[in-house]
Amino acid sequence: MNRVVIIGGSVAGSTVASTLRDLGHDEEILVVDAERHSYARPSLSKAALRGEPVVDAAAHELGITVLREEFAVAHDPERRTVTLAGGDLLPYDNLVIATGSRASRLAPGRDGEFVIRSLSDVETLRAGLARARSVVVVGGGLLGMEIASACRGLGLTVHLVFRSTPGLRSVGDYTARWLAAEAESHGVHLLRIDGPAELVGSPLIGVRTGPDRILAADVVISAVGDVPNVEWTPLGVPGVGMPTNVDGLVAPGVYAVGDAKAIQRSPGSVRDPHWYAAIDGGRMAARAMLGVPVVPPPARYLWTECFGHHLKFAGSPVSGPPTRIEGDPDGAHTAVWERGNRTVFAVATDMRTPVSRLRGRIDSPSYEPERLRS
Amino acid sequence: MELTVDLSRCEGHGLCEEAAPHLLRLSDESEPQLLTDDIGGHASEARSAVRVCPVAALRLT
Repeated sequence: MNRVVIIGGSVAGSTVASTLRDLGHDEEILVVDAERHSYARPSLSKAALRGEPVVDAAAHELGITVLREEFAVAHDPERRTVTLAGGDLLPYDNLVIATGSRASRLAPGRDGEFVIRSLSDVETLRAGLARARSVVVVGGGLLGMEIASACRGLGLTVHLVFRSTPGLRSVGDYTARWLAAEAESHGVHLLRIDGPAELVGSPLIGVRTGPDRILAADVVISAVGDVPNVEWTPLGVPGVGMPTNVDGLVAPGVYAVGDAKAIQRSPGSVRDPHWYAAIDGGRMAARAMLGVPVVPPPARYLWTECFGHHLKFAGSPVSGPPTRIEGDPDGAHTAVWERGNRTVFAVATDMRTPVSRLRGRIDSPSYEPERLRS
Repeated sequence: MELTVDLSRCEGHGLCEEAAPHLLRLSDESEPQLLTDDIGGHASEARSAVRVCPVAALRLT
């Protein structure tokens, strides 16, 4: 077994390290972390954007070596070595690729496009927001909703520009429409556009919303997905990720976890860049590496905090209204979607329901994250 | 070694209880409650609990 090298020190990589230790692996584990600090990435668009501290000083196990502010630039799978930016050549017996992803950009190379994927992204954005009165957020996901919410909390004029109702793919049409109504009632201007968003100017001055119309704003924020950081290894597929089986195996002695992991399907591949998948996948890869039977994880799980609400989602969203609402439909409640006699999707709104309980309500969950472009 | 919970941030996700079954149990209100003062005796679980909390509500000092 010998030496395990983990490239990436966020939740996926550190979960592999701690699971290996929990399972009795007592040989060398080396974590290479590009970040100066450890932090919970989901809090970036929520607590961190509000200016609250999110750094975790105790992220890694004792007895695990962590190289900070260092990253891999080359990988030789034949010789089983990784080259670091600082020049070190690291031999490994098992390699874990946990390099995550970076925010997609609509106007690469131009000044003034803000994104959120790392703590430094948030620090840059907060500095921009401190001088701003108006913001336009581009994106049709829950992230755009969270950013819009935080910016309204700062008292800014906020436009949210999207092609399909924000969150539709993640939480289904019923909940996405409810979130959109909440956004509007909190003063967010929702603007649907037909084609891809075009950012205007260098530095950016706004977003084109029609042939002769530009929506101007002091700050332009793109929340339009992410790109896996896999260009440094020949086993990675740029723009797609690290091709793996369900357990995370890429090649003999090489595993991928977290946002860079792209499970092979026929055809195509599926990434699932979410918190629960990073933790579940980290545990699975560690077990696979040690030859311990891999336990299939429970139903997928997401959550969001915006406009004074917190919502938790388990299972796979389906269209239409819920089969049943438990609790106060206008307040704290759980909505359940059934198909046949199976519960397939559940949403807890402003409920302190533990993840395990909400996930447990989903019948015979399949580990099938949303299908992305292959 | 001290493990503290910021209840203003906690939303009852409960991942900490799964990660640290010897240290934490969720109350009926889904608030994590310490089962022991001996955090150091379960340091690995404590670190896991802090790491998996998605809202960064736990702190180990």
